[in-house]
Amino acid sequence: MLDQQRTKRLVAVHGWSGTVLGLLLYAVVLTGAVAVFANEIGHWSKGGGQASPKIPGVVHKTVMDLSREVDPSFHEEVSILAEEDGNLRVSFQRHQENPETGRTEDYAEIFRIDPETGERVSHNSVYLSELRELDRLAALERFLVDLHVRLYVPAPWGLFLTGILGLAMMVAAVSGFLMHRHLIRDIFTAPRARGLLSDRRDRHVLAAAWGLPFSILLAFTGAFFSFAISLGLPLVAMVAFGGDQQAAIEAVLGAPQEEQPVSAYPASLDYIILDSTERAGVAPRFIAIERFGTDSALVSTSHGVAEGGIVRQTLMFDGATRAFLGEKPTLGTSPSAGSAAVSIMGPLHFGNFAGFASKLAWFALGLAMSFVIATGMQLWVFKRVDSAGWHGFGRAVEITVWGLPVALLGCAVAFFLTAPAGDTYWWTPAGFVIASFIVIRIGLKAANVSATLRPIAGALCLLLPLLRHLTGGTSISEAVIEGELAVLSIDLLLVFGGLALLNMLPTLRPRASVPTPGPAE
Amino acid sequence: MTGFLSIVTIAISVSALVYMRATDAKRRRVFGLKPRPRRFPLLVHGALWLPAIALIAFGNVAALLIWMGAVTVAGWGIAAMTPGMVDAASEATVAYRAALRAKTEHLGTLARQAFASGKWRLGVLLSSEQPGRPDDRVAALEARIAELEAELARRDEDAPRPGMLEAQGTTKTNFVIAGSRS
Repeated sequence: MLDQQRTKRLVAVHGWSGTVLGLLLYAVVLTGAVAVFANEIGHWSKGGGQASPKIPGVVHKTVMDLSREVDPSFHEEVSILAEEDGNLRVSFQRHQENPETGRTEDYAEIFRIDPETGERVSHNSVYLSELRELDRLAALERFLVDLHVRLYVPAPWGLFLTGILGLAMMVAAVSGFLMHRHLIRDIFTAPRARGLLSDRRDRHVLAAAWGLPFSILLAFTGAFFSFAISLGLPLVAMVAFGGDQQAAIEAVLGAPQEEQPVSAYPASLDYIILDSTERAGVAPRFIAIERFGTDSALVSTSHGVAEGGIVRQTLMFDGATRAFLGEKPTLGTSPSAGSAAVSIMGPLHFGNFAGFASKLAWFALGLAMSFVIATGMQLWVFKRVDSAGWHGFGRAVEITVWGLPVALLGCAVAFFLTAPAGDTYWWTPAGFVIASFIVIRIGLKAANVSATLRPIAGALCLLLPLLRHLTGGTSISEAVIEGELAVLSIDLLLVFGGLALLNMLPTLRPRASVPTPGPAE
Repeated sequence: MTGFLSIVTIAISVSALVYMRATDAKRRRVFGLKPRPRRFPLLVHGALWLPAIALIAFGNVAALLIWMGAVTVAGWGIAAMTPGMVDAASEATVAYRAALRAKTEHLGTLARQAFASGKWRLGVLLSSEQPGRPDDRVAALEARIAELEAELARRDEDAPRPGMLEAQGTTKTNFVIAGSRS
């Protein structure tokens, strides 16, 4: 049991950790909840796509034929990817200097093949850094992910920022847990609505109590991902490898091997696909072949999650003899506890281990966390309602809580309006910025921010499916016929959300005869 | 399989949570409700936690994580409902069931009418007789109206009336008792 002094200190730590970074934390958590459905949003904005595409069993001849077409210098690394539109992407790449950036980058000959007919759909020669620009319709999902991962702040500062926000979330969650004395006893005590302050406190505490384990889990994994790349690797390189990042990378991922003489008989990729499917329980989605066509060729097959599991497997095969070499650890060159721990971080943070079901659960958890942060900030401001200095912050909280969803919907509107012809990678963030400015302006003038912004968000929710359809997107009937669940689900979610925000759905109104609640303990 | 296991286990645990909410001593005290002892507490806790243990035993980590996430969110939703909202929800369910039953009966009546009408037309067609005289049809219509009015009166008697819930001893009863006591 904590004494009064310690409890007071914990309340201060809890309140200030949530308040100082609360607005940004709310933005990261809410965009994270939306980004759980990034793939589905991608399918929705493109008009469809396979949820878990797989490489068909017969690709060896196609890859060998294509390899003869490209210069042998492109055989440094060959990859095969099953794309979401059903095509196969076969890339042959080499390292060369990009005259635009002045840096050595991966330059690739990329072929898109229809796996059923074997026909070539397209052929591009591009730097991989420019590849994303080719897929204009992926702009919306990438913007949402970027906003969540680094708040659109340039690297590495954006990752530092979101990492710090993750730590602040952990501090708030742990301090909240410690200072709440009756966590289990109050777990079924609904908000009592006796007065505005206690009602707000009850709402915040109840949601936080139920979501506590996942708040800590998601905050920890999020902070890990932010810091692992931006800070972890340089630090490890500095401490353990005397600042040699290349040596650190080789220790983590393995050293590159010397090139061997060309092999006359490269192992059959079809056999490797069959073997890897049997071992992993699911067909591969991605295959990488290092030192293609040589005696030291190494084939890595990346698979989706097997039934009941949460971790994606990558298996290694000898590219000349097709012998199975073992499972590729996430970190290092041999299996370790650290590698196993890192491999489960992804599924635990992204919730992408069991398709739509797990994503729906993680989306709901993200919304619950957003609710906790929003009610926490509102509670903090409400307690200081007499202090004029906090009034501005109070308005900022209301504008952020209701304005961010409006701005996110606004960027989707900008995306669809420009999708037929415009530069979606420019207009999607621009739409977000424009919508944010409009929202801030409305919010500063409105007498009741939530009552003003809520119907706008609702109207935009209802507008988006219509806009998607009008700008050439897949119609509902086509989506039903082709079984495009992502398109149908997101349209339905938007319509449902829009009606709820416009108060057009039936709600449960408490009966007037409810007895007056008793005092809290 | 993961989806199916998740749904079944979540349903079992959520049912346990609903019962735990209804019998939670602190909640009932705070809202001035009559204490309601929790029967078979071991069974209730078993229903809450055994699905998770079963998923661990099956080695289905994916379903276990979905269960954890869903129970967390559902638990919050269940706990956040005030007794007034719970009452409103149960009354809405009763009203919905009654409306559904009435709709089903109405559809049945329509089907019977369509069948009777078809039989009459078929009979006319087969017997090659002229349709009934206007007087006969008016009489048949009056008989039908009387039948429908009787049906309506019977339905009015069956429909739940205000206060019926109290008489049936549902949660509302507890409210009324607790309210009058305080």
